[in-house]
Amino acid sequence: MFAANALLVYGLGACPALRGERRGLLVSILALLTANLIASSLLWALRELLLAPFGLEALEPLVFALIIAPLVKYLGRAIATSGAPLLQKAGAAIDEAAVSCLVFGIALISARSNFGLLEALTASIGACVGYWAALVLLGAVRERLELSDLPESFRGAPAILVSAGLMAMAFMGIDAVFIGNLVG
Amino acid sequence: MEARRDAFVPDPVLGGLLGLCPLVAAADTLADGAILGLGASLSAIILGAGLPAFREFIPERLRAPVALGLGAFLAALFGLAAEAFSPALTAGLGLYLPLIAVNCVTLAALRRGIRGEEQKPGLLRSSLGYLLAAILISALREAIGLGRLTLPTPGPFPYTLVFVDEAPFRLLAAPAGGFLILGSLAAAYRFALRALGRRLP
Repeated sequence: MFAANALLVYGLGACPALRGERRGLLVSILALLTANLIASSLLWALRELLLAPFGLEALEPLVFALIIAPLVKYLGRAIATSGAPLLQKAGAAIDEAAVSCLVFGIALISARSNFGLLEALTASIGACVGYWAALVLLGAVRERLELSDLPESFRGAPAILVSAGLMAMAFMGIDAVFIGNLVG
Repeated sequence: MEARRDAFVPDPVLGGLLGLCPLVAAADTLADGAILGLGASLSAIILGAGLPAFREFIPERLRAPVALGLGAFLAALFGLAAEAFSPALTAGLGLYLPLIAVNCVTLAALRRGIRGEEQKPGLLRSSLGYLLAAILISALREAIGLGRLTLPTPGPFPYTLVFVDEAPFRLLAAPAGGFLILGSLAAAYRFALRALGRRLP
């Protein structure tokens, strides 16, 4: 979640996060979890049952593009047409996120880690929560930076990139040893 | 004004913040940056130039899935070619070669291709810009961070230029360093644009 953070360590979903594209907190976590859980479980199953036994792992992008992304998109659209406004927004977010490096990347990491299905899904949930936490923290930093007196060239994207770098350094320190020392 | 801005080739990365994930995470050597940059640029050029020619033969509802499938096919093909070129270099890129299929630069070209927009000069400029930015960022990370440059040479043992034996600033080779280098380059890019009286991205 922290030491191997999807955004700050793997750089997944960096473009929308650093450009400051915002959604409601609940909508974004709902969309992230739904899209990633479906993509991770499907890629894990297809990789284990279809690709790995025949040595066809190189076809992972094709499997994602032709099977997983359309299914996630379809589900997003189905949710978006439901009644509740929150679900409509979440459905639209799932539809948009279906074809993204964040969803495909997290699914790839989970599928390639030699995990069982349950472990892969847990890893996927952890990655989503870690990404979401980094997104929220970066959003807070962005708000502070907007009020700061920075040199003109550093305003906006450069400042947020440097902040993401500093935050990534802090996240690197949160590993098993750190947690062990914290807990005692 | 737009035409003057277009003349600046590194714009997709340093101005538009597109295609960042491989650059901040995986492109920690010159060879890695060159391979990832080439993969995304080639995919974008092929999709952007090829899709408008075929779009009329594909039913409208199927254009997006077919284009995405074509992008994924190109990414898979490039991954296999890169592995054949140098297994040693691609060993560290595992996750990021398939991700070329959903790189923002590739997806942007794919979307314009589906819409049938004429884009050849802009497509070449942005793809070349992405490749240049990937090479620049990865070269800086490796040279300053590790004190060496790994060249994208074929075979199991890539040629490496060693400047210093001890890594002078290892942090820059880590993803945190990728963000720091990218932020500094984006600031320098904006400073240069302002100094030349051009529009800020």
